[in-house]
Amino acid sequence: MTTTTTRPPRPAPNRRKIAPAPSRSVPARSRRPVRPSGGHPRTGVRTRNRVVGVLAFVVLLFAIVVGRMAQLQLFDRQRYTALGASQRVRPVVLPAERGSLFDRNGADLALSVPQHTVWADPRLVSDPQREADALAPVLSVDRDVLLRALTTPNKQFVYLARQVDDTTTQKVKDLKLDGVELLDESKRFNPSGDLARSVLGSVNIDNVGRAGLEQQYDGTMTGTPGQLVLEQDPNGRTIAEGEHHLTPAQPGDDLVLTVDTAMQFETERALSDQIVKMGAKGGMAIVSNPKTGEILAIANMDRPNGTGTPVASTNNRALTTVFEPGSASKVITMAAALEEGVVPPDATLTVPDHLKVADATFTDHDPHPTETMSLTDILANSSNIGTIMLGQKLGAERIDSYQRKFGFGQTTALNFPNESAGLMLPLKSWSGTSIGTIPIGQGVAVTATQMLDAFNVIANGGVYVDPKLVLATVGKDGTRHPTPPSSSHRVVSTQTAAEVRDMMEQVVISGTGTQAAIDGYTVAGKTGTARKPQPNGGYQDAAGNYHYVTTFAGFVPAEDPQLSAIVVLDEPTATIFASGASAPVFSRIASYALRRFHIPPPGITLAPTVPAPTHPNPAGATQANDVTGTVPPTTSTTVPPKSTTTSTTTPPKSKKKPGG
Amino acid sequence: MAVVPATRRSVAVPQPRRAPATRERRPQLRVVAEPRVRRLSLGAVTVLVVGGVFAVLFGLVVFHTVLLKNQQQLDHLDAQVTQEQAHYQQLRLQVAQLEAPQRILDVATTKLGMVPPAGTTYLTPAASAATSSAGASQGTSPSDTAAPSDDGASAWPQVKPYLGAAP
Repeated sequence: MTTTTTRPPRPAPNRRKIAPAPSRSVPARSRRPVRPSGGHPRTGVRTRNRVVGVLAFVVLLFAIVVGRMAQLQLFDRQRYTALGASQRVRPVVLPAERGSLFDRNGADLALSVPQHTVWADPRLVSDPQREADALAPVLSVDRDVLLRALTTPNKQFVYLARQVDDTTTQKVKDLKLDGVELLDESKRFNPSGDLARSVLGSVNIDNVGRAGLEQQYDGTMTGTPGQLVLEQDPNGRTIAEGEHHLTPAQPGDDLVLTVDTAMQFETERALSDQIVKMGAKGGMAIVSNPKTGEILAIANMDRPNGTGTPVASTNNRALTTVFEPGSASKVITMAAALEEGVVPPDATLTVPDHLKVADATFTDHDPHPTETMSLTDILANSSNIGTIMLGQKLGAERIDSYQRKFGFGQTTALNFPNESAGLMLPLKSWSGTSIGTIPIGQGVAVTATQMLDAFNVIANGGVYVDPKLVLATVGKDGTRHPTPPSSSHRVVSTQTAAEVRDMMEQVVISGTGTQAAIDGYTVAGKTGTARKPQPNGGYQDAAGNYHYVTTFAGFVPAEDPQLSAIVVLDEPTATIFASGASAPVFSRIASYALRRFHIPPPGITLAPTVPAPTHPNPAGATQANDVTGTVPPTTSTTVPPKSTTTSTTTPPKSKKKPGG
Repeated sequence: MAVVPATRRSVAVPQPRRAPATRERRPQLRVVAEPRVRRLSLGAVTVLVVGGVFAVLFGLVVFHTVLLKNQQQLDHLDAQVTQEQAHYQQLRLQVAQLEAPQRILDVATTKLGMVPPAGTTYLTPAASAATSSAGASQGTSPSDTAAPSDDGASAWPQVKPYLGAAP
């Protein structure tokens, strides 16, 4: 039998006094028996202490938590906010697209296309050897170069290959290499290859213009980068309600050039062919619209070793390099003489075979007895002596003044990078023989553009028009902003210009420039054959040989000039005369240009026929192929235009000369 | 508080003294029971509150899910726009390369067997011929002939504003 002892029930602790029950008749709410109050006093104290202890502990914990929170929220707030933001807020630089270069008809000459750049964070590269081995054949970069890049210490960013194409990009992606990433970067392309290379220029790997128009208009074509700030999760997904600020990138302006792609190509081709044919070292050619100053083509071809196929020069020598124009400059001397009235247009001069000026004796190209020459004869046959005699009548001051008025000795309005102002002797530095050399284009150096601009003065009836290479800009919103028309100023009177123009017609009809003639059109021009200065200071090289630069400049149709061109060959060897070296190229280029720009022969007005295929202008111009805009689509024929000015020049003697 | 029936709570209310003449016309008044207001039990309230909270939470989850889905779509569209812009530029480059004069010349001479003409003969029409030719072509409108061709370049001014770079 088991004896069970039961402890008496412990009285409930007397925690508080129980108020006596109200004396109401209603029954008590609780049926629970009221525990007796009281208990062991020591037990109650112990319990209270425990509770107080626990409470104190909890309070302490809370205090620690609150303290830490205060530290985080109040004292180190900015640090932790930045730390959090750096983990999820990601600023993305939006590169601004560089403006494009268009030809006058909207054909792309230079444009930027998005590509990818492969870069690496060396800290994250797990196996540099293996990754270098894998990347080398894909990127076509030397393995050791890649390995060095992938193991670069203390760097978080190294380029592995920049601006690679999409195929390469995909191959890199497929490799899935640790620490190797891709970056969007645009690359500049010239879709027509080296066409107009010297004019367009180039950009460096960072898309900063470093030559040509790319350099000159770098500020215009470089846009403003934008930025996108957004919050992303660790997987790169945008947090929906996170921070999101977008500052859009502003693309750069496009440039619409005055250059015509087809004309440029044909000019380069014709020039190259002639360089090869003439055994020249190189050449330059420019085609322009004399009325507006717009340059339609500007070609610079070189044969670096004097042999082989010419290549497009990176140097726009037509604007940066000077040469002595030789007889082409006689046009200015003649115009000055007529304008100043030192001789009447119908004057004749008694021209000897040779002439002594100071200590030098000048001769004409072909020996001849002393004979009477009209001014037209002098120009058409390019008489040195006759021109020097005119120069002597003019005097040094007026020769210098007119050459400067025609644009010599100063840079053009093109303001092309590294453009040359030409070389002109200050008047006080003229020697005794300068009055003999400078009127015939020796002892003065010009750029091909300056020389063509001088001829444009005659073509424009005596008005100088600034040359122009940029037709318009296209803003970021696609709006076309035409550049202002070229400024102009009068140099000689209309009468003088017409008289000189008539003389220049005779140069092509019966003078030194017959090979520049074009069937059905009247061409006015002038040849120029000049000795080329040598590095030693004289005109003869170490072996005692002379080297020549040949020039032909002119315009067509002579009655109403719509096109002008200049062709300069550097050191032709097959013939040293401009008549055979440069004039034929002029004829070929101008013939093409007349067809290309729908310029009819004199007396014929074009009927509205289907135009040649053309690119629409980037800003919506409908018929950009018409270079002049002066041929109205009428349906009538007109009387052949005749010079509005009465020319009193006498026809030249029919004496063709080979030189200029 | 429990509603006590009005009959039980009839308490003698002191009546105002009235004139004996009007006592007989006193209307038949009676105490109307107050309509009983049904109150929800605590359990029902709890269920409703908890259900409401869950409904709100569920709604928030749904809303957030839709938000995330839309954001993903937006990201996808952004990526697609960037891709298409790059594609456009690639095609533009391709067209320009195909139109390059040197390429056309190469194709003409090497693939098509074309040769440059040995010589060009220029015919200058007489004035009378030009007149008749002009008269024959009077039906052609200059605006028709000058219409721009429908290639990519004509759309450039419209396209350019939308080619801004995007991430």
